[in-house]
Amino acid sequence: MARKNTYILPTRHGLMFLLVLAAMLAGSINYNNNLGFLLVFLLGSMAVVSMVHTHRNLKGLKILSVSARPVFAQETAVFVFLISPEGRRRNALEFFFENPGSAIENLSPDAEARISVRVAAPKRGLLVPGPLTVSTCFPLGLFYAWTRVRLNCFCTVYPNPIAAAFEFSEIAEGGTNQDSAPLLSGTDDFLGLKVYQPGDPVRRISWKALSRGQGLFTKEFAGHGRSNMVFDYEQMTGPDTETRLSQLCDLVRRAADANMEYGLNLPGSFIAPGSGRDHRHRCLKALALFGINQEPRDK
Amino acid sequence: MNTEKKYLPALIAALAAAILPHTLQMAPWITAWCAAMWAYLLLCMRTGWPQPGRRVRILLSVAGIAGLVATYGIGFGSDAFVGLLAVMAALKPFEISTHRDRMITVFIAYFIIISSLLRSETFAITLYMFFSVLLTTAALVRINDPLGAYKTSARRAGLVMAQALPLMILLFLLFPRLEGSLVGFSQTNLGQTGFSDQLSPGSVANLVQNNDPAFRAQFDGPVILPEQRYWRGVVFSRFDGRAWHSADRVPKLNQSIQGGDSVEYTISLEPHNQQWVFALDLPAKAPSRRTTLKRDFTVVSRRSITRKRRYQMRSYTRYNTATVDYGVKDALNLPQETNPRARDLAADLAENSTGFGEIVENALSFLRDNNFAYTLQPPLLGHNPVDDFLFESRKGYCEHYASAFAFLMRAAGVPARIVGGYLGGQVNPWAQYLIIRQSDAHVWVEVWYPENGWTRVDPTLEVAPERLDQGAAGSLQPGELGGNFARKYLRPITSFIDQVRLGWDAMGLQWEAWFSAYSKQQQQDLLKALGIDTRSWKGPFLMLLAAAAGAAGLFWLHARLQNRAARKKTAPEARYYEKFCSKMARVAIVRPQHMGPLEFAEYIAEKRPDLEKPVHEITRLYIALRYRPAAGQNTRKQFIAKIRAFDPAKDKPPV
Repeated sequence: MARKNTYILPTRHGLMFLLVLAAMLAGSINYNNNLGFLLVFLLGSMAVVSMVHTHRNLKGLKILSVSARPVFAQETAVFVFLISPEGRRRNALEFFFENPGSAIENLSPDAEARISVRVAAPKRGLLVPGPLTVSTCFPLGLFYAWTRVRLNCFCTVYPNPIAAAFEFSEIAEGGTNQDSAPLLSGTDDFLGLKVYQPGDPVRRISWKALSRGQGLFTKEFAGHGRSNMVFDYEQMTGPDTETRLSQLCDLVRRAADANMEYGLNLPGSFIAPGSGRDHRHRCLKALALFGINQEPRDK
Repeated sequence: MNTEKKYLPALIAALAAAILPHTLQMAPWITAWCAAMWAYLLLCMRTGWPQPGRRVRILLSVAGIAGLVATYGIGFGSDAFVGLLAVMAALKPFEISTHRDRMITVFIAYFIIISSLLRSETFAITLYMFFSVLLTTAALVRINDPLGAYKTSARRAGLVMAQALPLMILLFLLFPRLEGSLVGFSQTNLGQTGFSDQLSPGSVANLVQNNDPAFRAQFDGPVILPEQRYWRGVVFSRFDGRAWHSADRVPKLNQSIQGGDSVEYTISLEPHNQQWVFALDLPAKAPSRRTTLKRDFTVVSRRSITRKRRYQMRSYTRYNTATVDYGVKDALNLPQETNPRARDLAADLAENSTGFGEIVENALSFLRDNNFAYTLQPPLLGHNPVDDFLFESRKGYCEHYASAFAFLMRAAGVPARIVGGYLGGQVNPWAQYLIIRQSDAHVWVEVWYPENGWTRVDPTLEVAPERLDQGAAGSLQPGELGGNFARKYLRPITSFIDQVRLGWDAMGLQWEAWFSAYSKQQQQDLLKALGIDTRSWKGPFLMLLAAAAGAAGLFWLHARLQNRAARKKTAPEARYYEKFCSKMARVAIVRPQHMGPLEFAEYIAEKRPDLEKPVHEITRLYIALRYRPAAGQNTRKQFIAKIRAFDPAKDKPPV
């Protein structure tokens, strides 16, 4: 990534150091003390050299990639940067977004480093952090060099899961009774066999087919049943949208944990039942972005 | 506790190193106080003992300051200031929990370092200063690199220091110097030894016990002979019956004196807190504008000498001062009614002699012929000290002889005064200069002859002629100075140590000659050599310009070197791959920018099937080196060897 603008300014301690040096210089002039002069000039030159060091400590650093795993609202999002030190040892680099929470790292010259910067994620939706600041005061703490990087990165924040007013096991069991299962829809008619895919529930493997030597097949069902549910927004008991989304979120999470097949019915969108990590993410993301006109800015 | 573990040892080490040079002059309790506080803190760190709370810390500060007031009083001198810094430095490590506190601790350490430089400017202190700054800077790096290790902090501090050196030298040479003080205050008394403005019994004998150097003299020509090594400092012309005093206001000498056998030399004078500037008898001129040559031929500095000073001097070893009759009349004054026997003796001498010369000769024979002895421990003298000495004890040191002799002269009508200074000096075999020590302190007499003016007479030599070339110690009875036994039997060892010490002394003087002496004058000379005249308005401007240009040049050089070093360090394989590419380019196969190494290899293979094998091999190794971090030195060596051997131009492509 491009970084043209590295800024550098003396720190507060740098200014204090300057004052100490001025006092020392006055003393040396007063006593006409050459050794005093020598020390003042040594320290002054060191300060100047340290400015170069501080600047170089930051300059040329490369951010190779950024990623953030989705989190639930009110958790902390962790943005992971892959940083290349570009052949130089880097010390005491600080990485932070505008929110509090930072990471201080030393990078060794020839290994890429994985750096995690934490950001609070209070609300569902897409969390787009402000520009990333990378800064350093190394080595003498007299100068502060920093650079700001605008990143095209975001973190999906799922709604904060809130347990629905019923036990999940109830739904699971109630699923067999078609009329008393208001939350669920669909049928459990046997549709046929499909080739086994890793991740398919073990109990739906067609053992008959296997015993006949036909290979591994999975039985496919359509519609309702304890292992095939669609969670419906309209059926949620929560008083407002956010609570309902949170309840749905909890249901999805638990269904995924129980390795069930589930779908999602939201006003304006429908996600057919399915399972697996990607499906879970699709459902939760739909919940996260529900009603939010925010698309990741892809350039 | 965690922060302490990380930073405390480094900070304490920095403070301790900064305080160390002060410990000799500081009140011992302050040193003990620092050691106790730091030891307790370090123990806390290891054992987890409780740290003192805020209240205890305040109590400790109050106790420390009370101790300072008790030691140094209310008046705020430089000793008290250093004491205060030390007391603060002892307590500061108790509060280092914030970054700010730690930074301030380091700044205090730097401040203590400079306060030690204001006291002493020796070569040793200069070396120590660099060591101390390194330690303190390492601590500074340490507190700014929370994840680092001590070793890397120290290395970085060393690097920063080393890179700062050229700029430091430039600034040192070019920074405009002033003459004299900025503010009208100067350092307070540091308790140095030396002559005072009165000569009372025992005052020189005390000096003789002290082996510290008083000054050093480097000669432009060969080192002068022992009998010429009379170093003039003070003239005592007033006698009150017991002690001799120097005259208060002696006018400036505003005529030149006639003399011969002039000697040119440079004196480097140790601070002695008086205004005397010592010069070989007889100084021909005042060495600088800050000093005056008086009519009694002493050289006096305008300010007390509290720091080392170097002077270019010229003296005559043969001279006639008949034209300067200053103080001749006063040189006959004696207090009434004292020392009657001495007065009788003087009257006798005057009666039996014709002319001043004979009186002097007869008085000297009196000392020679009456069993006088030279000793550092003479018996106490009574109300008439001259009588007691001449007729009772007959044991004494140079001040007794000079005092009695001058008294006799005055009583006999010969104008006489006492001159205080040093006689002798040790030749440093390493660099052929004289080290004159306090133990060479001596007093002698000057009498006035109308035809020759003031003339030196040294009555001590009548009793102890060996004083001239063996120094005071050589003239004493065995056992009078302590440690004679050891001196005798440990001769080989002590003489070796002496050689080392003299070598070190020579190095220190050399350092002083070009470093401590660097002043406005030297700066002007240097700039003039560079073609810059500092007296015109252009001077300072050009100086600034030169400084800026120098600094910019240094930066440029620095950046270049760093870049080169970085390039070397990063990826040798990348450089060798480039070499490979340029070898290919020589046979007209240029790698397009977008092409990765694998693609390029295929591209080559297409055009030059004969090269397929080596190119494939090189590409494989390159990729292994570049993208497999585990690839070892062996792979690299192989890769480099392959590229070196690779020569696409050798085998012509089959047409």
